[in-house]
Amino acid sequence: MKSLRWLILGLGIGILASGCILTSGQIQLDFAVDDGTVTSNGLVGMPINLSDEEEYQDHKEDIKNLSDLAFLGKFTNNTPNAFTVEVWMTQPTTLPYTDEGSMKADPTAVKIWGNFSLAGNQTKQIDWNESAHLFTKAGKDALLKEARDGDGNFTLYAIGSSGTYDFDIKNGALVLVLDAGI
Amino acid sequence: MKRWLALAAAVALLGAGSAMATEELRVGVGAFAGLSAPVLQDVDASSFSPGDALGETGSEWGVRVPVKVIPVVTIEPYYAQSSYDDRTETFNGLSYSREGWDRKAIGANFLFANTLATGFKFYPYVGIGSTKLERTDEELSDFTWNFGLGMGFSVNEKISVHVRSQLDLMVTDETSRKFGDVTAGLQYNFQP
Repeated sequence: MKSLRWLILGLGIGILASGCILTSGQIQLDFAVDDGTVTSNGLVGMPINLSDEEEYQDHKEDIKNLSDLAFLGKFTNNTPNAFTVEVWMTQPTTLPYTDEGSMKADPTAVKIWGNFSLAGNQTKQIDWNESAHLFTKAGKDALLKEARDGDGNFTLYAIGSSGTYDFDIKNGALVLVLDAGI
Repeated sequence: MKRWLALAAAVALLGAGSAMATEELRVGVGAFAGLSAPVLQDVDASSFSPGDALGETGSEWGVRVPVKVIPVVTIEPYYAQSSYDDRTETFNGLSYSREGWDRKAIGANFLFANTLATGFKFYPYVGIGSTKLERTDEELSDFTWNFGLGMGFSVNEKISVHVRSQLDLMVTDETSRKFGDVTAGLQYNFQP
């Protein structure tokens, strides 16, 4: 029976150690993005403020990781040429950037998502699974840092990856799933 | 965290191992099936209701090998596999579907009862193991704790029926992915 004490002690240590993992969960937040038309000469900033969600404010101190994320919406290529779309993130500025060069020159700019292919004149609603895999490592790290350590306030820019582009984004949404204590 | 979990596993195995000589070896084999659901995963914070705590359910099946080598506790290596339904949600007016996980788990439970003996049993148990979650182009693998309650009764000396409810905590650094399972199974005892 002495040996049983070790067994029960071991299991007890495990249960106590798991206390912090018992009270956690994956909290999903989603933020609607305004409809807009993006051209190579006219970017559209999409402001996101995580603090708009009360749940984010309540659990910000307990965020441990990002377990899933997606940029969703319906994209329409207004040109006959194929191109790909990517999304960049910057800290908010007094006025949103309207050209790609200025936006990319921002020291806080980081490409977070892409590349999503659009054929000429194609309208395509992105698949949730596909979108989740298009996030870059740098993008995930930047979003986690913003959610956990920042003020949760940032701006997204969708751009074409090269050349001349003109596309619409409709019904856009950013979906974040936070690993957090509850 | 992982050091504590490793220590717990080591101490538990030490206890089990050093007690082996104290009881005659008894072995069985069991198969089970049931339902499993993610718990508190991908909970929509903006419109939460208690029913949202459980995600899309899935089927589960598996096998167990109960071994009685020490008093009071039955050690039970197991393998379990689950497949969860896709999750459908609407964001900004459009509907989307997220692929559900396929889950494979292997480990050992410590049942605080002799489930190889005849009669009615009501028993708590704790388990340790490893869980792998897979979906297209994505894979997670981590240490897992199990906690559960089981109920078993003998049909005869060789056959018993077991019903269990279990919570699985797949440890992901400082948090966990949780799954709740409800299963029923049959067990065959090699010794009377």
